[in-house]
Amino acid sequence: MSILVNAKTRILVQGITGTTGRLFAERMKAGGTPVVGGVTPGKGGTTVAGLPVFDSMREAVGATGGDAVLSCIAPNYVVDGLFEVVDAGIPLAVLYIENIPVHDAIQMCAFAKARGTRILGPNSAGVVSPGQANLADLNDANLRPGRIGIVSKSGTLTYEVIDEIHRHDFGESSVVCLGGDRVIGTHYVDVLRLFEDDADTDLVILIGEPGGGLEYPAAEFAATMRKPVIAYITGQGSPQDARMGHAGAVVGDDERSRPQNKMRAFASAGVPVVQRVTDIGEAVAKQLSQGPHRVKGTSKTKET
Amino acid sequence: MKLLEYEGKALLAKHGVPTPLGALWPEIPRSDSGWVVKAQVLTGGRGKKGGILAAGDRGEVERHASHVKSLMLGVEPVHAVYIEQKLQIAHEYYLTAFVDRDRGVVAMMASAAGGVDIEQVPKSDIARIDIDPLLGLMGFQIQHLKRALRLDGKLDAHFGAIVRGLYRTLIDEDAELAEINPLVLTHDGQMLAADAKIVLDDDAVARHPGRPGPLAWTVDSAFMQRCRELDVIGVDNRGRTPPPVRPNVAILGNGAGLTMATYDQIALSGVSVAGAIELHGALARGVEHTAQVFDAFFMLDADVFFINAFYQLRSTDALAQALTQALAANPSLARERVVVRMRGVKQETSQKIIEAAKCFYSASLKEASDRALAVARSRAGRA
Repeated sequence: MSILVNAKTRILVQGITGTTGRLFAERMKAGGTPVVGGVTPGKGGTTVAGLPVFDSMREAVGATGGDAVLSCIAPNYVVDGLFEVVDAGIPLAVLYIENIPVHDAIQMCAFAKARGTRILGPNSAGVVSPGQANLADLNDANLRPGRIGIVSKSGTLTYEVIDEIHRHDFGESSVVCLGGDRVIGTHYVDVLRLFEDDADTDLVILIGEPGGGLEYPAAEFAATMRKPVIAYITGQGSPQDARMGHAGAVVGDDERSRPQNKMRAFASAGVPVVQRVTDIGEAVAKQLSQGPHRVKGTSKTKET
Repeated sequence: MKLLEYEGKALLAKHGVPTPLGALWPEIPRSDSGWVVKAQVLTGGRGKKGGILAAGDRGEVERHASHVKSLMLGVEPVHAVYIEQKLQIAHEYYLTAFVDRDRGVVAMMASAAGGVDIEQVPKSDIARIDIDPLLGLMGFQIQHLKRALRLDGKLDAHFGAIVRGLYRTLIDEDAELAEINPLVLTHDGQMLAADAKIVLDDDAVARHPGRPGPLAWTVDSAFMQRCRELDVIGVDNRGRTPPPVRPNVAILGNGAGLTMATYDQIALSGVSVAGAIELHGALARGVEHTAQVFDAFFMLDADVFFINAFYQLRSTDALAQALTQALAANPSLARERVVVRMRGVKQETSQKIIEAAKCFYSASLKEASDRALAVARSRAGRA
């Protein structure tokens, strides 16, 4: 089935008449992603890429049954726009935009959670289930349907991980990018739960980074999973006070946010940890050669 | 963006948190209880490093102030000297408001054990409230903090105003941290913020147009300044401890995750990284702009320049053209020192452009990083 999006998802593009929105809509349509329409206030009644444009989210949902949104609107309107998506009762929203003030992100995530909308982002590269639905900035040509789940904060590093598993002849069930900002709507552990229950996923690759501590609950949960998880935490070599493009990926003086400590947490949860992104393919092959349902090495979680 | 104490206190005062009478030296505020002379630095623990001195008369204030101004606290020069009225301290408390990013809330903490490093205080002596973003700070939460401080009932209104003021400072000023340590209770029953540590959200600068820039701008290298001008993310390791050793590699990548992962490929193999650039969308601004980014990249003092770009929808030939333009402007740079890995639309065209410029190209990260490491090591052997 894959997770979060599939061939039955009905996608709306928020800001569909803008440059980015139009580009995404055209590409989704061409790639066979189930996009059903878009919203731009004041442009209702027009079409983009043959898709109907509506003035409001509620109107769009009423007419199309849309249940997932890719938000492509200008920074100044993003917060209001997200509130509108949540208010229309849409269960999934991808926020591609970055550099959202942190107090706005807090409000957005809280409102979405209270009303039952799952947000990916801010600063998320999106979510894709190859061959079914592509709600991400990933090129369909670079994807391959398969049985590996990937969860990451980063976009570009996720490209690399996908490339890496393809070199070893694996493909993806779903790829989920959480976003590189400090406060984000969906956490690693939420996605691990979904992958654990997904019949189409055999193994999960988790990509962590410096900053914050969302990897710790993920490590704890991974220890209880039936499916194998492989972890790679990037930023082991980079200076810990540098903001290297992700607002969230700064360690500062918080010990928990260090990559090395996160790696230790996964290792002690019985999760194999690789040092380099180019070690992932081999680690996946090794895990899966032991059968899709691994018996954990630690005595605490050993199944009998 | 961290603020100096006096900058932070100005924001607190704006939101109704009382602060001691103070002024930036050479001005001296009036006082009938003596003064405190305080170094304005971002480094913590300035008191232990001799950055805070008491003075009994104006002459002593002047002597201490000119001494403190000349100090280096660690690697940081003293940016300014702040002179404050000395307080008659009865008790020191701790009060902070901050963004808890993992929980996605604003939290506040208070303790009766203030004036010391809060890391040293047992967790059981610190009260914490998590503020619902949809509700804001509630009265019962203020009561909870107040009980933890075991404050006299007469101070209820006073303390409530300080907690609200601190919370408003965090929200209205778009701060990630607003900490008062110590929050002082004086013998005459006043509560004042005797220190202020405020970190502002870099992503909210545009919301505060009138706000003066902070005094303590980090002194950056020409490379870092150029990166800022070009709106890319730069990392210059020359100023760090330990500094990069030879041989070393400079890295240019697109996206934070990929740039950090490329960094890992080099650094974990025991080769130093001189610095890095994350393109941060520079390619969307065209070939000319991107060529300038490469010019900046070549400013780094490195043995090997390793470029790792992975695009999904964007054509990479513009990146390859930008690179060759910058190479043409740097004829003394030996082409074998430039190693390129590029993936994306039209990568075959890019490969041709890069190979015509006599640089190494591979579509594989593994192959390209191995090459970068090998060239770096061979150059070390030659030196």
